Amino acid sequence: MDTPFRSPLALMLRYGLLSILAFMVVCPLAWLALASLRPQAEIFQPVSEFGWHTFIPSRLTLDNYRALWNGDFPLAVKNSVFVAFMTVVFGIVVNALAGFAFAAFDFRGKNLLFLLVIISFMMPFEAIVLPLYVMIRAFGWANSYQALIVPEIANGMVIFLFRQFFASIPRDFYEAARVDGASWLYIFTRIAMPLSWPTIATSGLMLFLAQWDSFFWPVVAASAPDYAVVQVAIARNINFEQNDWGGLFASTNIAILLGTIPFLLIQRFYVRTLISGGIK
Amino acid sequence: MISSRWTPYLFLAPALAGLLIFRLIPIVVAAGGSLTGVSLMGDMRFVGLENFEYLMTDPEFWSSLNITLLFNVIINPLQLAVAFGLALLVFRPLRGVWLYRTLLVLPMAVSTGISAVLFGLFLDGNLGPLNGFLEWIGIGAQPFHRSADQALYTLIGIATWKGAGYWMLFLLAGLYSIPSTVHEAAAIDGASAWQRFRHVTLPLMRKPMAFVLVADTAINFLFFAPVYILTSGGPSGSTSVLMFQAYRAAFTFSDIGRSLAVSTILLAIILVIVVLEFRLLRSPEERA
Amino acid sequence: MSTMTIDNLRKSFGATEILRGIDLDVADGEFVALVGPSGCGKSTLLRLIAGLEEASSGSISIDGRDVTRLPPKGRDVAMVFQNYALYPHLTVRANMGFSLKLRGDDKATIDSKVTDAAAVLGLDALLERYPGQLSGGQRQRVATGRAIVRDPKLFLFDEPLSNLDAKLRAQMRTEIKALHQRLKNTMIYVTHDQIEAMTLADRIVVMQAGRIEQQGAPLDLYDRPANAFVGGFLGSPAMNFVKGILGSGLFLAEDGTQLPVPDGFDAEQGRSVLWGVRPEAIGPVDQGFSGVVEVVEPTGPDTQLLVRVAGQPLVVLMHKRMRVSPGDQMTLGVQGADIHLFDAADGRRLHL
Repeated sequence: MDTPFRSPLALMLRYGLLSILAFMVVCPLAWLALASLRPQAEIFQPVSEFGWHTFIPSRLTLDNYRALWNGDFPLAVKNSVFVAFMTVVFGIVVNALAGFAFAAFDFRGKNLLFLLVIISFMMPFEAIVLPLYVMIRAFGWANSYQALIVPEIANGMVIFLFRQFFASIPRDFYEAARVDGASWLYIFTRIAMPLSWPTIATSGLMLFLAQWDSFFWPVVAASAPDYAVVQVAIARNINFEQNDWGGLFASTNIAILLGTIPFLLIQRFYVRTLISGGIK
Repeated sequence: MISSRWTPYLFLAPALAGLLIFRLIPIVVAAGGSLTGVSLMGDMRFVGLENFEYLMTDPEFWSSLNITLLFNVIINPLQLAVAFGLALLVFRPLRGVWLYRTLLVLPMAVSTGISAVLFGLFLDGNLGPLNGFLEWIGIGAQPFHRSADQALYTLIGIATWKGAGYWMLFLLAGLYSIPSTVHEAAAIDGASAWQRFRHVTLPLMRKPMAFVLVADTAINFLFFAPVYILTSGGPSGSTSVLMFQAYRAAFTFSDIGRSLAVSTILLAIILVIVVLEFRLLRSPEERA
Repeated sequence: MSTMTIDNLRKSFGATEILRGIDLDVADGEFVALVGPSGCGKSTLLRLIAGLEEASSGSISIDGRDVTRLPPKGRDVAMVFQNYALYPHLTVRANMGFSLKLRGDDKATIDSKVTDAAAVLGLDALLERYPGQLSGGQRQRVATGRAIVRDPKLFLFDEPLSNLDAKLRAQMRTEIKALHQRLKNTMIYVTHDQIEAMTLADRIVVMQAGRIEQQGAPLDLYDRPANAFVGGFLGSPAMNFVKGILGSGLFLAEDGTQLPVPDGFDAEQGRSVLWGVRPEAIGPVDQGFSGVVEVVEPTGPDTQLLVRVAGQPLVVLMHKRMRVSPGDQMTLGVQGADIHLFDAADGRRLHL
């Protein structure tokens, strides 16, 4: 839509506001990225010496990152990547299966079960962290990968997204395959899933972000160093009385990049799916 | 469609088992566990409403409830207003608007815990640039999360930095769902830009705004990571939200029963919010 | 009194030119239909008149006042949209009264005007409903009612009936015609349905690729299309065309078949032309050209035939029942006055 009769002043105001807001969002991230490349000696910034060198290091160095290599941070990164990857893979399969069932079949109890899905996505996961911890402990899962992965796999929002997508494919499509003699599993894996890659991308990102954003659960369920994910490992180090500030800057920056890079790659699908009303 | 009776259930089984075990049963566990206590010998016993009675007489619980409510009364309208403002700014086509939109939603991908660490550094007097900047423009350095007066508002600021872009997307979806011809009809009917916003956009955005407000509230009642990382509930209890109380009861005082009692109260609040959400999501015609 | 004058109006979106110089005068009380294939610019032209898009160059005047750079608010036009664009959160009453409320009319005035318009359109019983509770035809009426209550200088219609089923469309067409005869307002009506344009309009403006191809009274355009495009666009089933060259007092199709030319027509021999004739103008005669029947489609009152003549399928429409079968030989003829000849290169009509 063209916007007719627009005054140049309004246009400038809009650009100005957007630029200020975008700056507020990006400034802390950019500052940290640059600060992580500073030599250790330059990390402290007396309040009285504000100027361009507050943001721009005098010389760029990867020392802070090299130092991280020998600590327990690489393990935390490995844990995070593993946990996120498993959650995304299992999450896509399990939730897509359920979404397909809600879209393609009529069965007894469908509405009731779907209500369960809706309720589960309206209720944030954090609400049940402590009782869930009691259960996980009883399973003997405390401090384990499965404690981090398994509870995050079934996701009401992702089931909902897949259902919306599969319901948008005409049923004729599935029925034609049935008439041709295909099994339901074959229809799901060979017809429904290959059509749904934008939904798969969006769901994958959604599962990733849910896992990536969780903090209370990993702190409670898997705080042992062997299983600590990135955000837990970093939070444990931030007592503001340590010596290795450069290491904290570098590890925090890595943690930010680990989240934002996949996000930037996939956000176009994600935003489009959300905006096109996939959520309502 | 004809299918074997069991096929749909086989497709559903893994996901529904997950939702049942990891989303619904914990609610029951919370309610049941809140009625238990741990004896000195370390075994669980049934104590009835003792945990709740304790909380009712605990000034720390009441102050925590107050803080949680204050936090929510401020943050939810604030985030809604900011998100709506952002959505309006990026809604209409503009050269380069996709870049702004991408930047504004970027904090979504910064883990909540990490964003707390980031701001811990950014706002720090010795490590971060902000206090230097404030000094430079003459406002003077601020203690932020290190002072009882500013800690809660600092956390609200961090959470808004992190969350506004996410909620913006839902409001943007709402704006896109208003047919452009309705705006055009209003323009032809003689409405000025402000009148179009007031009489067309705003009433038609009621539903998405209500959704965002309620969903955001549900999440903010469970606000935890920045408290844990930056303030540990302090200074002087000024940021000790209910979620932090529940954590401390379980892991500092090893009193799972009391912790689950706090969880149960939070769950009850969330369930009320979910019911509200269902109510609000019905369209105006359904109510007419 | 409301007239409209458009002078050399142009509109581009980026490098794409949608309107390439439109000149149009509309008289007071006239009903003008803009027709053309999709993408011809007719809707863009209407949106420019409404002020929903800004012109790249040229001018639009309403009642002698230049409105080219005015937003819709300053133009006093009303528009009925294809998807009706009713305010979903307002009742029918509030939808119809919205513009009056914005204008600052008092409540009594609004009420009486809305009630009057509702009576005209038979909406009395629906005033307290929401748009979501109405059928397509009812919504269409509310959209029309919203335009009527304003008593605007110009009524604009953007394909207002295209979302209705065939039966309802015919009914609403009649209602709009009756409405125009009663209100006598100036109306501009965009449609891709040439039947709508023929039945409703005092004048039809045929557009293609951002230009006006021809304008005039409906039957004038039907009988004397200025070019092959207008001839082919107006009329259903469409005009038949045969390619060939002019001979001496006759037309030679590409396969050598001889076909008649208009009475007294004499132009340079050997010129490449299109020979056009409307389906209802061809019929069986004793002496004429021959063809082979390929398809017979009886519709009740009419019979439509597909007859292969000069190696090309021609549609023949007979207003009676016929006993013919595929494969039958037929001898066909056409009156000289019903034959249209167009230049093969630029499509221009070659005779009066």
